[in-house]
Amino acid sequence: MTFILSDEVSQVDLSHHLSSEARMRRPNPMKAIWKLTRRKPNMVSLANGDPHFSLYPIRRIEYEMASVEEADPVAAWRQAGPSAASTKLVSSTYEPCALPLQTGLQYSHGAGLPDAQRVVTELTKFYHSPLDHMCTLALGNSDGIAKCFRLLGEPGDHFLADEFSFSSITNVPLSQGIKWASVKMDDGGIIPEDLEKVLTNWNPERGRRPHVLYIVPCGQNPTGSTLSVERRRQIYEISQRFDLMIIEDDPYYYLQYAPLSAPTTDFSTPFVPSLLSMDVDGRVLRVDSFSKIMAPGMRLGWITSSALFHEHLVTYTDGSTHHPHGFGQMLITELLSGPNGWQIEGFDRWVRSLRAEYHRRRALFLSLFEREVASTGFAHAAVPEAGMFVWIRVALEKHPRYRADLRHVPGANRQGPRTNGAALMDELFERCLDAGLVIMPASIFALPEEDKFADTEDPVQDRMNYLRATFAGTEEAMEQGLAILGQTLREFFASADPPKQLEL
Amino acid sequence: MASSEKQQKSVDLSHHLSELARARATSPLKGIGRLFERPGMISLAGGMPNPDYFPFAAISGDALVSDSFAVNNQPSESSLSWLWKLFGSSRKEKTNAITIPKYPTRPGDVNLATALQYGTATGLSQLTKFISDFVGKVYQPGYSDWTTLIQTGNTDAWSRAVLTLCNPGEAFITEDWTYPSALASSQPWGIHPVGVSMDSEGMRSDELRKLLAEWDEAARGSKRPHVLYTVPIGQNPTGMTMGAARKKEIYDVCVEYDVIIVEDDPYYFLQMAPYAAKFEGGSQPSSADSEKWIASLSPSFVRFDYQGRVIRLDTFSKTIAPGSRLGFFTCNPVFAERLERAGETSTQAPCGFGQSLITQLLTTWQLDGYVRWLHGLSAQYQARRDFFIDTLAEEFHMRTSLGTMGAWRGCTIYTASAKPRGPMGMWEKYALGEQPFFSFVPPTAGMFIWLKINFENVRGFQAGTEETLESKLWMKLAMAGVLVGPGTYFASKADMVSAAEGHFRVSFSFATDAEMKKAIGIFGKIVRDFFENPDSE
Repeated sequence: MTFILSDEVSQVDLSHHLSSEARMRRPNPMKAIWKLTRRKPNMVSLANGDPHFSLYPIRRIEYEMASVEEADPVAAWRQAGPSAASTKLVSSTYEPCALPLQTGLQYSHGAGLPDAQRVVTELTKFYHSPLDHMCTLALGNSDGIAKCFRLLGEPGDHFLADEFSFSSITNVPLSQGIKWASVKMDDGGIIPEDLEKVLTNWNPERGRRPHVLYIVPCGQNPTGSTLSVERRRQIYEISQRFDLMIIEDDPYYYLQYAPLSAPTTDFSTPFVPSLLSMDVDGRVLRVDSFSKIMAPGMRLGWITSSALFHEHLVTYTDGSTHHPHGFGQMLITELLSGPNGWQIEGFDRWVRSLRAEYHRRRALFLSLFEREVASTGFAHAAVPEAGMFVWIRVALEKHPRYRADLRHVPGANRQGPRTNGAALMDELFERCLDAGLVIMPASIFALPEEDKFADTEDPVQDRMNYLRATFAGTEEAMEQGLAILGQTLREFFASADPPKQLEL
Repeated sequence: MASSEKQQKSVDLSHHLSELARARATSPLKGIGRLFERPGMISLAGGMPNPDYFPFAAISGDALVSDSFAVNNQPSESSLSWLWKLFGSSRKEKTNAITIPKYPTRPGDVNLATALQYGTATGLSQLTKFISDFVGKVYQPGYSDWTTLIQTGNTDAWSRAVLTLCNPGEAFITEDWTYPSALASSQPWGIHPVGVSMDSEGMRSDELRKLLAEWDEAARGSKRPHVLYTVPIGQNPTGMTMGAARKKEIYDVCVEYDVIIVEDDPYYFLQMAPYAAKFEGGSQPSSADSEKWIASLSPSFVRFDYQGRVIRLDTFSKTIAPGSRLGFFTCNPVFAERLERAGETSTQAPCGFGQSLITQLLTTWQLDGYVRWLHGLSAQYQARRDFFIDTLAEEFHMRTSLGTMGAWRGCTIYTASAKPRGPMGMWEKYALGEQPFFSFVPPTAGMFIWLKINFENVRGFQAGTEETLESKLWMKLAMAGVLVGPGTYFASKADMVSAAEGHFRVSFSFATDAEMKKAIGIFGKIVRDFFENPDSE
């Protein structure tokens, strides 16, 4: 059974993007039989080693979840504590439900159980109305992205990404022999002109021109930047011109906020259209996750792609992770289509309420930042339009030991960094730790790139003067953490002498 | 862990790690993670959502009590009678309610705020502890610093293990007949299986030694294998089970030739007494005492492992439910660390719902209760196997003989031929006589019966057509509404189809008694027709 999101069929053949590994994969033969058993109603299968469901020790699972009847369900859920209104979703062997337990806990095939696949397909349709795409369930966002990397990457290939990216993801394909090529960014995220420049000036000595762009369009991790519609259109157009596949990793899609000046993010505030929604060629692989809007431990997400890539994702899943666990599939099926479930309408209310809640947290963080940190004059925060992260620029140029002439001292490396910014940031990070604060330095997000081909005109080391902070933690952590940061910056900027342990 | 004071630590086997496994870096974020643990540290670093926003208040379940299934192999407890209970019979099943609250009421309670947060890749601490106690008590590894690591099911575990150990293009050793999903996960890297022939106990140790001793790198095109993949209990597809002596022999060969053993053992607890036909009084029930029962099982490879060269794969798929996608590795700490890295960048942690529910179930049952549950399961599978073979014996004329050669030497072989029906001359007319259709050895573990089909007895048989006949018969069965596993799916190499033989793997794990009866009826009819006239439409 397959679910196609629309009847319109794209015409572009993109099969040349498949890795040789993906082309070599053969469908798991046992899964072919599994599909056959679903085709005829009276089929008796003696083919697969599935335990009979009467031998499962669990007969019924009940998920007690927040009610979405309230106008602002997240606020109500948080404030009412244990007495908050809830709804009970049941997956059972002997009660009517959307996905009975005996089906949910059986083996299925790589795309996920048809019912669970259907509900994420409908959800995707509701938010993105993509042309001719299909959904494949994955074991969370990292698993989904890792599978996309394997599907497209050939050892020696370069993938494109923001020059500051989430290192837990950008580390993934390295062991597969993939390298990264960085694209510069500003407050609005990846710069389309620079993307075009990297592709146009590609040095063939590095290998073939990149054919994959990995991108987090909303609340990018770590910079918190969000791509405007205009930039998205430009990026898509460049991708068509240079034949790029786009991996759109969008866990913060539902956490898009109104401007800071607005008192809240109103329920009617629209979401910026995704790259998936613009995809006429089938060159976008979009990865969605329930981690940020429900709970990370669910380990459930989905990939939306053209039918071609869907087939290959399923084959890969059948030979590696298998389909995702039944518990999460039963939950989302009951949640989005079951008798007591939220349905898509309720889900939409929950995520819009959740972003209003995060809007308040962002406002709190930024007002604390203004009071404790910006007041020092040594740091400035960009206002994120989405997500959970604030990218803080440290005004190193005001530091007494700041140097911008490193290339001009006798014996200097003329291709090296111009400034001592990276070393000063290491010092600041250590000082924060000593003062009891963990805050992420930009350096750990810098895309790992081969030195040989690094940008010597404008090296990334000179743009390391940033810190990533989150407003997802507790209010006390924000309050105390930002106070420590302000105090540490004051001391750091007053220190004309280098600390002993960092002396060269 | 009774003898742990005498046990050695594992030896250094890190030279077995693949280039890919060595290249896996620890994520810099995980490095920073250690700083979070400093007391009094304030963090603005992580992107963990606040658990207050998790829309879950609690998860609860109805779980069967651990002694729900009798251990003395009563057919009346089969799935069919379970269905009767469903339709309002007075015999209600006994269940325990298990609940996982969002926040713990007592320290150490399983809770959703932890289980549904990031950072459970090595497992909930309560689950890790249970598994570790279980492995120590039941499998009793032979070295001191073994460890366990949770994973998302054995297919994922094997695919992680093979890429952690093998470089592209390498060969690994397996049984001649093996589980196709195991082949599928490594095949895109050109990591290919080399089969070792089997007998009644699965892989032969003398053949294994021969293969390793005579390995010719130039002729084979790859270096001598250093990884062995085996399903030693209720082997998939042949159903064979390896005893302690054979395991010890294979282990010793692997020490001699420096081979890592990956023991994929999903059917370990589905070990059962030998089959005996109904008229002989049926097969024996196991010991009524669960402690004695578990001690009677064929030991795991890890029991003999004094060096740490076994990676054991366990799964809850067969003992709880396949959809749990939860299992665990038992291996040396160096391999465990690399396997954890491999998981960190892909599947991360097994799902928090499953981890917390299964942890709560196991800690409610406790170790003895879980052993009792497994004991009841094995009796259920024994009843299913017996019912299946008894029903086959009603459908066909069944003859037993003692195997004298080949893979079935020393085994009791069951051979099926047409049952005389109506006037005695009926089958003679078609010159079938007692010509066998198929034969098999009843398994003593697992879920499968491996049928060897005697295609040479098909009317008009010509040598060289077996695979076609196998797929032809398979298709006829499927059209008639019965699915079986075609033997060719399980061949470790394409040229293994031997003269005049085909195979089907049939499973007795899933169908109800009524479905089995129906399926065997259809099977009988189709097989008889096929042997008479293979080309009829």
